[in-house]
Amino acid sequence: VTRLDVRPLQPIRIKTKHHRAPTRHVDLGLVVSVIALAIFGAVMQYSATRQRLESQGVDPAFYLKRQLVFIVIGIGAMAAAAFVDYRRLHDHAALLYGAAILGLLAVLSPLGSTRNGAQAWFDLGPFQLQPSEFAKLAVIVGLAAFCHEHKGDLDAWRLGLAIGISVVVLGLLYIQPDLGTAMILTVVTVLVLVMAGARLRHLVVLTVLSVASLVVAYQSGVLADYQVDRLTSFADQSADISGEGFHVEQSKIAIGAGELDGRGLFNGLQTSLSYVPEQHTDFVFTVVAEEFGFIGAAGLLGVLGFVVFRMWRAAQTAKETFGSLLCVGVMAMFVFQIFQNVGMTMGIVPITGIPLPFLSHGGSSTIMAFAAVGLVVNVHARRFT
Amino acid sequence: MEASRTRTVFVGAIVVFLFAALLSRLWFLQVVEGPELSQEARAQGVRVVFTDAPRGRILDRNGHVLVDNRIARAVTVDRDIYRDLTGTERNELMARLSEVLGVRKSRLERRMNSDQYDRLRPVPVADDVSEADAIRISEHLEDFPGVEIDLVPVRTYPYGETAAHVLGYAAEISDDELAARASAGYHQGDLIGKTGVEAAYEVDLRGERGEVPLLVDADGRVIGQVGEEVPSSAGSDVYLTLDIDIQRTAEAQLAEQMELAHSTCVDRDACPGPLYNAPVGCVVVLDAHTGDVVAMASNPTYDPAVFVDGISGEELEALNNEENHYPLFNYCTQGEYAPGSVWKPITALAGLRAGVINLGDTIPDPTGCFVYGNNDDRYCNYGRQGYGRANLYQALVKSVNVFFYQVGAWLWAETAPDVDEMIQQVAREFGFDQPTGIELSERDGRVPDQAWLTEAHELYPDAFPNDTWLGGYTVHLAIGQSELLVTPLQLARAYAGIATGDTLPVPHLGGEITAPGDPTDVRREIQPEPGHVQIDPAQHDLIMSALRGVVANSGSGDGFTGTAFTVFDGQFPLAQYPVAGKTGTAQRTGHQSTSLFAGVLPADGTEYVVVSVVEEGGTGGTTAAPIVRDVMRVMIGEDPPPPDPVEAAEAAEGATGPGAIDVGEGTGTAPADTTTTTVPVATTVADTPSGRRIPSRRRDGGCDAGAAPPQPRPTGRPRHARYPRRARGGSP
Repeated sequence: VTRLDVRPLQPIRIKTKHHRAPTRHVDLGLVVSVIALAIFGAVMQYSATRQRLESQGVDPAFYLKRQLVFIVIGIGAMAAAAFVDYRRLHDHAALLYGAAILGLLAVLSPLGSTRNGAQAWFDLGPFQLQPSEFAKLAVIVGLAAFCHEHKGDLDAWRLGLAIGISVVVLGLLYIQPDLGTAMILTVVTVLVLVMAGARLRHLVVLTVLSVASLVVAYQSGVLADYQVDRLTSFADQSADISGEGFHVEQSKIAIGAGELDGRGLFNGLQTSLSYVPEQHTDFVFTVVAEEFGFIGAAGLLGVLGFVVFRMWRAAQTAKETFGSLLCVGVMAMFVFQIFQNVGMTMGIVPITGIPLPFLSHGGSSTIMAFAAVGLVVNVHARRFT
Repeated sequence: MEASRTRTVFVGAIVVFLFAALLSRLWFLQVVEGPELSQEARAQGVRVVFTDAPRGRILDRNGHVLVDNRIARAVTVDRDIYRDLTGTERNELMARLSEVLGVRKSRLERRMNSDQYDRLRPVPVADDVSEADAIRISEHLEDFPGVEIDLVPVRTYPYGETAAHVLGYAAEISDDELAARASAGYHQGDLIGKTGVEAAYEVDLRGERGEVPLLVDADGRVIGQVGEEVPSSAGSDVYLTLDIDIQRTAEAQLAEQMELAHSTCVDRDACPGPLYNAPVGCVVVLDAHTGDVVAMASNPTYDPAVFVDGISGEELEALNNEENHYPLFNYCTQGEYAPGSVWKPITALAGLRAGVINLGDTIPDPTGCFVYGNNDDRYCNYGRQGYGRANLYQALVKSVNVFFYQVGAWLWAETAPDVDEMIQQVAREFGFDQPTGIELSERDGRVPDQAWLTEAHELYPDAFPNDTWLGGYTVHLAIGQSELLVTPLQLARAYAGIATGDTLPVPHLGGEITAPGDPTDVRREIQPEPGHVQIDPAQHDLIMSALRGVVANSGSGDGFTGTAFTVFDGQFPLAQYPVAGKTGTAQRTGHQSTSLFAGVLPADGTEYVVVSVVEEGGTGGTTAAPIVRDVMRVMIGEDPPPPDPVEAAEAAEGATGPGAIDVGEGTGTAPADTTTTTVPVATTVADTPSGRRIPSRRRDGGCDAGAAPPQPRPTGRPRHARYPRRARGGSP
């Protein structure tokens, strides 16, 4: 017999002592790493687009300049996310979550606009806002807050509620549809729940259920044709010369063409000839791989790994469960986005429109990534207070 | 830190595993498969684009451009895209193209399905479309899937139909030609010279196509160039021996006299009555010493431009049609005629060589007819007029048939077997019965003899029931009849031999092959080694004076009026230019007589042979001789050539444009001048001590360097001083 017992969120007490002041414990390594990654990404976007833009008689630095603006805004967002004590976020998690739901509903209304077959953007003139990016963060905050409240006490009912937090968002993402983000969010949810102490048998049942539902979704035709195409073309990458398989093929050629030491900055053949689709956004990794070779691409993965490691450390050293789960959520999100994105360019996972954090062109994803890092810095810096 | 240690390790392991998976995959792609994928990247971005090389130009001896190139817009359809269309889409596309281009849909489809085009390149469905049509297509490219506008060089003919037979035409290479020339580097879709100079100098005119390896992006846009470009090299320019002014004169005079013949009664005493048909004719102007063909006109003619954008079956049929008298046919080299009296100098030379007559011998001709052998065959003079007695001079001047019948009969009657066929022997020595060696397609003609008759009898026993040569055949042959056939060019060549007394030139149209656009960079000179004839000087003098008598002897002294006397009398400065010539009126069963005239114009220390032949044009004096006279009048500057259409067009342009070339200022563009008063050409000639055969080729570029100051030509100086010979004894 399960008992309905969900407490409202109680404020977390904050102790203050001067030598424990959060400003003294900012993770500079993490901050410098992500800023460096973002600037490097902007240069890569420039390399991917300058030839094409030039041939169209457009400023070849258009994407570079716009991305630099996003980076500046992103750094601001990071600072803001680090500045206010993250435990206030815990207190207002419900508000944040509600705002995210509203945003996702609004984007499905006529206010939102459609691109690449998904109604996922607010068109704000020069750039577009993608509420799902912020929804991911809101879900992480919500999950962390909920699990913090019920740590060590996640019975089936509470676990169901916790899952409900992300399922509502998943449903809205499915309507858009934005399966990539939904997939990331699913994995993030599972990992947060694992770390939050969900019981093993619950986790097993959950896993079986989700695999079964995936199979049903695939069989029943709920998925759109192009989504099925992506999955099947992943299985048979030579199936269609002009479709998804072709994109992956071009992406692999670009990466392989880099060989060990790369072709050098701005010398990528595949890159300058625009053979790789969406190369400044989803396939930006191919630019790095082609122009800097294995050494450069592995180095990039190393830096990304370092960023992930710092988040992992922040989760370990966090003052309390909320901070820890926050960091785990953000880390899980980054890890799976990196894996999903880079794996897709190398043909080991199906194509989904998941950006590579800090490197892909895009305002929402860049700002969100900086904000997420800001939260981690926040948790890390306040581990003593 | 509520999370258990196991879970922490578990999550950490997942993260490490994911990164390790990425790294190993990265290693595999970049290091293991890298070189292969790198190759693929290079290959797919590079397209080798072929650049067409413009064909060489063809110019006349003075640098007038006769055949040039122009950039045309071709409409092409991409094979792959076309193949991917559905049946209805293809239909719609072809219908739209047909509507825009004004070409029948079936024709477009035929070209689309033809296998004569390069399989790797888009199919050109229309070769030369207007700018407006090209814009209509490119503005609505979405309605024309796979359609593109390509720029290709095509042939242009600034002088239109002029010299069409000489120039010939170039068209797309056929499968057979391609198979025969595969090793010569030809490709499908290449232009190849089919006839005329275009074919004869194909090797020189043809350019080498270039290859440019280009970087092409995913949408096929050209981004840049990779690797070495193999540049295309334009074909060489070919300077002809032709003089376009004389050529145009010859064509105009030929057409004019043929037109005149169409309104001339066959029987002057029965007028109005049947008129001359004069369906075809030809004029050749040949330099007797060098073999330079200065003009070669054949009528009817055609516009070579019809071959530029692919000739239709209908058009080709019209050009190959008997009713139109086969306009593609060059009657100067492919027309075969009985020469009639024009042949008589050959008979005379044969008689002299065999010794059956001597200079000064006279032959009686009381009745105007000659009775031969047991048969009562009567061979008569023109108009059955008897002349009493005639010597060789008189016989040639008045064209006395009986005299030559007698020579023929004597030749056959001579017991010495080696003179039986003396006429044939001399004829072959003068180049008959064999190709002249000109660069055009030509016929051999026919000099009948026993060997020929035997063969003809075997092949066609019905037409030639008798296989034994009879004396009557030789008698007939003596006045250029019988089964004798010659081409006008052979006649001109033989008369060059008669006029020079020793040289039998090889007629040729090619003068010099030069680098494209650079007349000073001569790659090859064309000067075929001439053959030789042998004439005893005394005999040569007599025959030449007799031929001069044909045009100049009034007959007031001896009653032997030259057969062309009335044609030239008072209409040609014979005192200054003692023209020699011979009329011919050849009978042809079932047809009106063929009108022939062969003239020799001494000028410039050389001689020009001008031969004209008009089928069904009456006597030699009626149609052919006036043509020769009028062409010669232009050659000596007595008359101007017809106005130059190209210069007229340029002048019209120059009148409005600022940079017009002013001939009057003597910038060296003098050859453009067509008047006869102030032509600085002659002085330019003097400036080339090397004796260049084609002296005044400064039409395009290089005018300033060493151009002679314009000087008024000394009055009376022959116009064709523009053709000085190479150092030849006695040249001015």
